[in-house]
Amino acid sequence: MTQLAHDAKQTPRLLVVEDEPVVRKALRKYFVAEGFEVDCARELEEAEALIVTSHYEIVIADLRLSWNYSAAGLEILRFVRHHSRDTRVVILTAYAGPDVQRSARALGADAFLQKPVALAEIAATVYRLTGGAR
Amino acid sequence: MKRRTLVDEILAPGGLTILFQPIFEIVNGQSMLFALEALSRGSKGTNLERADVLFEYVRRMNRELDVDRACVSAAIAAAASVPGSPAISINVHASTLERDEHFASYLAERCVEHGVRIDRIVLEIVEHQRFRDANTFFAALDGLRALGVRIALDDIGLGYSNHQMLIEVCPDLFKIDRFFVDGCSARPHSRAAIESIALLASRLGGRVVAEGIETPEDFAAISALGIDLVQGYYFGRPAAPASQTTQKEKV
Repeated sequence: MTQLAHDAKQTPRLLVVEDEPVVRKALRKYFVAEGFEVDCARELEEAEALIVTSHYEIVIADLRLSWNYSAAGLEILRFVRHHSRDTRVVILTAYAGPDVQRSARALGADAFLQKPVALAEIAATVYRLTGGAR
Repeated sequence: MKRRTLVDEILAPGGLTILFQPIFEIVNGQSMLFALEALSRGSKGTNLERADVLFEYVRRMNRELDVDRACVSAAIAAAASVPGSPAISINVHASTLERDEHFASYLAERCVEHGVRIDRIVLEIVEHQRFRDANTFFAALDGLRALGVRIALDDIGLGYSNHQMLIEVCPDLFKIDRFFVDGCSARPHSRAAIESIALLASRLGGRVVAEGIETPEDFAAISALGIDLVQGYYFGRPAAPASQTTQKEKV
């Protein structure tokens, strides 16, 4: 295997599930620069289609997508746990009541971050869970 | 307010792009264009540009029927600009044939609209495990055949492409899944499976297409089994309608 191929194989894949275009764009730009391969989804079903067809080391999911008043992030969390046990999941939310946090933890969320949250904090969480991209 | 989803973007004008991948017939060592398979893609630069993501998403949204119609319409419109008049193979979910009672007339109308003869159309049935009402499904096949449409079954050898399905559909084209074709030159067990499918196809009056051929070694192995309809990157990658040719130069 060439060094290039080895590096390509090691590129961690990250999925961002977020309906706010500004947040999606910022996360994509940041993590691409950090050496991740990044896909973004804005809908629950789009995220599920990506999870079924690709393997991700980590999924960062907003708890609520604006059109969906239920906890879409928890549905994604359930879906990831069903399809890929080794994928880490970070839940982002602006509505972090203790019940929701408990539900997320019970479903196997690896981290729960309350918005507004600095990119550096998200990155630190991702590195802790994945062992870093570089 | 109704939620606007990616389905709305897929169904909007220009929401689907059609690429064609050639299927060649090998005649006396020469490859002649047999058909073009129309492959639908979502908008460039989106996740739906990947066919696997596009159709997984559509199935999760339970919108196969609408999107299949859109794919048929886009494929026939694109076929009108292809040089010559090769057969055009179009993928359709089995569930669409079961649920869309006007699918055949819709297909016929699109052919008239774009000046494409309907007997050029091959419907390639995918996801055939998903139909529930056998009567409506087979009635739809009969209606399409009466119009001159040929029927292909995709992914033969895997999942629900079992003998019962093959006998009941009696497809004109048996498309052997790439799982068996890719690397078959080095895998005698794969060749044995291909040979058995080819024998069944000949007994049922159909022809076999080997898809997923990527190397000259696999092509030689497939040819040695008597299969003369071939498809894969070795012969041609999916490409825009205007760039189609009728003959492959390498063979």
